[in-house]
Amino acid sequence: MTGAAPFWAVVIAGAVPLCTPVIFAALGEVVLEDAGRFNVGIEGMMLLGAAAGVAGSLGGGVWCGLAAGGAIGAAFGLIFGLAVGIGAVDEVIAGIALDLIGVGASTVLYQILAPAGHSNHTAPVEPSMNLPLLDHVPLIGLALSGAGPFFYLSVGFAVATWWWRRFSRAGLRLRSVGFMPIVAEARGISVRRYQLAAAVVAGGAAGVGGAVVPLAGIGVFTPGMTGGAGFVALAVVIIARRNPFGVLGGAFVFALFNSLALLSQTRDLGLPVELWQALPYAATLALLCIASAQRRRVRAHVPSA
Amino acid sequence: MNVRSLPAPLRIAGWIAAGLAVVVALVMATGADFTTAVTGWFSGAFGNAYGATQTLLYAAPLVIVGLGVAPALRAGVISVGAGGQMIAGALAAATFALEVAPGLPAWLGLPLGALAGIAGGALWALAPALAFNRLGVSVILFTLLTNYLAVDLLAWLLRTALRDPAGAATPQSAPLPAGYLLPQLPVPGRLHDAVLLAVAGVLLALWWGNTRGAFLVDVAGRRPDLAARCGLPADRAVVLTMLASGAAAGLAGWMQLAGVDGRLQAGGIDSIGFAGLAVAVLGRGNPIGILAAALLYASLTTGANGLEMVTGTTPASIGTVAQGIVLLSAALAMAQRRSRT
Amino acid sequence: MNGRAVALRAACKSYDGRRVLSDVSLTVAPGRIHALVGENGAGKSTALSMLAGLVRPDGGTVEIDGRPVVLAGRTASIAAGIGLVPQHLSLVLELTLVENLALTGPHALVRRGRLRAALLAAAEAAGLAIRPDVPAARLGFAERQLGELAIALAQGARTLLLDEPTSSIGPYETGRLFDRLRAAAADGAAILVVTHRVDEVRQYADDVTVLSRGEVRLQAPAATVDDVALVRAMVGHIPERAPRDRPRRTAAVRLAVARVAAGADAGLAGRLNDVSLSVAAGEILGILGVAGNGQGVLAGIAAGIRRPDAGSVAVDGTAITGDPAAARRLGLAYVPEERRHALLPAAPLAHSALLGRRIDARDFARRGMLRWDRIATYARELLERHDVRPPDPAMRAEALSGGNQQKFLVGRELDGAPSVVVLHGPTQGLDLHAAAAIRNAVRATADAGAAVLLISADVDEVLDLSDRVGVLSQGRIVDEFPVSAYDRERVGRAMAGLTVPA
Repeated sequence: MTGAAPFWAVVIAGAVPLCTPVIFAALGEVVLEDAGRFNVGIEGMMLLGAAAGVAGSLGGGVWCGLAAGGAIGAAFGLIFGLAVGIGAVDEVIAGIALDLIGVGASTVLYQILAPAGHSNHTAPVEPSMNLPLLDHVPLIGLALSGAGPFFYLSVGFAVATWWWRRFSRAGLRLRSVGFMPIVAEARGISVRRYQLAAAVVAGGAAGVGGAVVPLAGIGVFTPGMTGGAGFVALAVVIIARRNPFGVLGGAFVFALFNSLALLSQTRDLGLPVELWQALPYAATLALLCIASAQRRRVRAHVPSA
Repeated sequence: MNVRSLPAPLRIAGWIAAGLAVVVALVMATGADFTTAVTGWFSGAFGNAYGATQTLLYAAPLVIVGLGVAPALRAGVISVGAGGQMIAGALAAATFALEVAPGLPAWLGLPLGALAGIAGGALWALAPALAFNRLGVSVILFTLLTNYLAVDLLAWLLRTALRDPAGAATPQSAPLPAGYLLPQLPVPGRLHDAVLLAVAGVLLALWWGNTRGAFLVDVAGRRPDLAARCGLPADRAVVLTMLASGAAAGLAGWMQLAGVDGRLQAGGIDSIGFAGLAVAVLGRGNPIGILAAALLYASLTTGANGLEMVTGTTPASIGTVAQGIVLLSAALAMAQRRSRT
Repeated sequence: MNGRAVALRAACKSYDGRRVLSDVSLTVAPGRIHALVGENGAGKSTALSMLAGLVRPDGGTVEIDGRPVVLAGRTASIAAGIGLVPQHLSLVLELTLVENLALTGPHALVRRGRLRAALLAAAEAAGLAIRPDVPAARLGFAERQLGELAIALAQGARTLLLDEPTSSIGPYETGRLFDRLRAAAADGAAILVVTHRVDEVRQYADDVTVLSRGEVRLQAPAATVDDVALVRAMVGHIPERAPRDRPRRTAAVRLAVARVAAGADAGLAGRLNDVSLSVAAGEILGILGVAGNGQGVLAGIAAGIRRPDAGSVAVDGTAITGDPAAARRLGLAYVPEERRHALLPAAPLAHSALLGRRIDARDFARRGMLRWDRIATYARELLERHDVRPPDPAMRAEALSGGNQQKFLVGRELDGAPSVVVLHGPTQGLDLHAAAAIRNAVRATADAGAAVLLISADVDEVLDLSDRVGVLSQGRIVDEFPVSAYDRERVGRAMAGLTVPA
């Protein structure tokens, strides 16, 4: 079975960088859903982050690009938060509007940066981070040693989110706003303020996640390059029941299938390429159905107030 | 004059105008001056015969998808699956045309092709409805994910079973037999007969909107208990309206196949799902309003195309940005009215 | 350390011109448990809110230790050592008790260890057993109650205000709660319990105040008052005279409710345990009971709207359990307690008129399309027949006064010879004319052959209309008799939940 081990190691190594965008976006969405909102516009914000990330990187290097992605995501998160919180727009409508704006504006930005006919500038990308000591770990060693700083940053973000939600009073208050806003307001917690802050954070995280897509790899923007990662992040948040570590796991499962799909393009894995490409979404969908069904059963048994 | 006391359509138009002003500002930021921006847009959308027919061509499927999604919206179900349902409809119609009965004459091929499209789209929409009723899965997420599945399914079939035997660089099917192609209208540019279906659809929707069924769907969205008592329980309302939206999208997919492309082609999910929903929201569920909103949206796309040709610096995708801004502005306008009481 | 005496002195409060409290005085003394008793809408929650600092009296004062104070809000009252356990608990259910304590605590960092210790110490001092690290949603109702109590004590409360603490818990937990309260009082705390459960008062109270329609009807040490006197004071009065005899009709049963149970696992206020009743054609069965005994649940089940946990409902022999459409098709009319559930408030009256049993009427549609002109005519005719003002079918339902909305709703439901009519509180809050009009319409419908189930807290109304009377208490029909056999003592005891002599 010596042929099999390196195969899976390669698959896992390929999956690790693919997780990162979903992890960032999903963690931001966790914070937003804690506040009781739902951001369908996440994909648009990621695309904007990707375009801004390339622009920023061309201007000031890869970390500047990441910051630019986060900034533009946060700005659109603010627009979302204001439209829904103060403007009383339905959150789904606002999300759809932001998806349209994001899809369009990201392409506009790209076409301004790299108009047809000019040479395509490649933006500086993520510095490679080699940890040769980890090479020897079986199966995941290849992945861990080759994963760039972005991945570890996202894991750090997950840990920070977990800690903040559990050990800070603000984290508890945020969750009470989402669970029982009337009770929270009655106990002196400003629902409006927390929801707006959460929207900004969610947008920023989506923007960073989007920026990671080009900046961890090819260094250029292509329209639609996030490929539904934002929507997958929404599903992952539900599947993981808003647990930051569950988010890591869910994102990884999606990325694993994605990695297999990429691999299937170069070697024959037995099943048609398109099936491998569909599998990440199908698997996410299946997990979503299972998670929803479980939640229904649990809810039936909990004594309700 | 108190702004809030203006009648709703005027106020919404006002907000939309404000939104369009933002768009124009963005266009100017890309290097065009004001007059070029505005005139370029108009000429692209309505100015010449070619532009006008393009606008109508874009608007027709948008009207149908918007009309299809409106009842579901009334029932409280938000579906953005039109993209995947269109693909499913086109697939069903193409399979029927190419594999099942290729030799049919037009008077059979067209209606049967349309029916196949309707069936394909409706079936694709059944899954999210059932998943919502039985398992409580969000319709939005289900339809978003299955959109991608549809794209992959199409790609696979185009590479294998439905592959064009003549071979081609891009994945595509064999051209549809003549009996399945929509005749073109005698106007400059390509405009197929089935755009008239959009008009028929508006008339049908106008009729349906006045029926008991539409009334109960409305009630099901607001007071599900009352609707259940009057014969329309909530889960049935969900299934029926989702089937309708799938059928409409499937029909639109067939229209695209039989009237524009002439053969099945690979493609990603464009924003038709979002645009169709946006059009239904802008039209506030009213068929005439949806028609107007679809024309507006289509003109935003064609206008942007025209603008790109004129200026050379403004990218055409600003049309999508405009669509999003218009939706947001209109939604803000409509929400203001609600919060007034 | 003793609790502080809190009191209301001549407190008054009005909302939108409606008098909610008039000249109410009561004192909660340290070391004593004071029960504040009354029906829904009597004003007890308002009085409690005043003592908790959530509401300011329009007239009169709140006093602490005999001195008038102005409580600016919950923060001020917490600082004054007043703990509140609200009826619909103010716990965030997805958080544990410790986390709930942290929510309003002064520390930005949540130190579970320290908070848990404080919570457990307070609980132990009061003899409460709590599970501090379980999400509140998974605690039983009684545990949540005790948890809120522990949180209040951990925040330093020495005066405790409890709002309907037993409305959602069973008899065993109720006993335990009362033990804890008595222990806390013995320890020096001042305790106020707001309740409508007359039957429990004697188990814990030292003092009793009865409120009815915003006024103090009775105030005395608990030992000197008996239960029937309490009920009488709560309900207004239980009439002396027996109503005139009605000719008994023996006819086929049209509505049969058999062994219905509901709310067992959801802990709804007012569980139904084993309710059976039947109503014959032309008969009016009135159900009496102190509010909160599951009347709403029973009404919904009888009308087919709600599916019971056990048991069945049938109209003219055909089952309609949990099937509202079947009930409607069989001619069942339903007037719920909350009008909003049977009308479309923001839509024209004509729309709401269509949502009755005429939804399928042939003449209301042509070629599929609804004929709004005909529907509007029908609606106008309904409005005029039932003296609704203004009789405008284009008007939004919510623009009508409550009385007019109710007249319209009752008119719609009683239209067209229903087979069975289920009414819950049909004249609640209405003026005399509107109430009389509705009662006449109900009587006429019964005379025309319908079986009528009338669930109401208005004893006069029930006695006036009914042929037979049942008393709903503790989840069962504890007594049933023809109206001519009405006996004041008997009804009072039944409503108070005391055993009825066979």
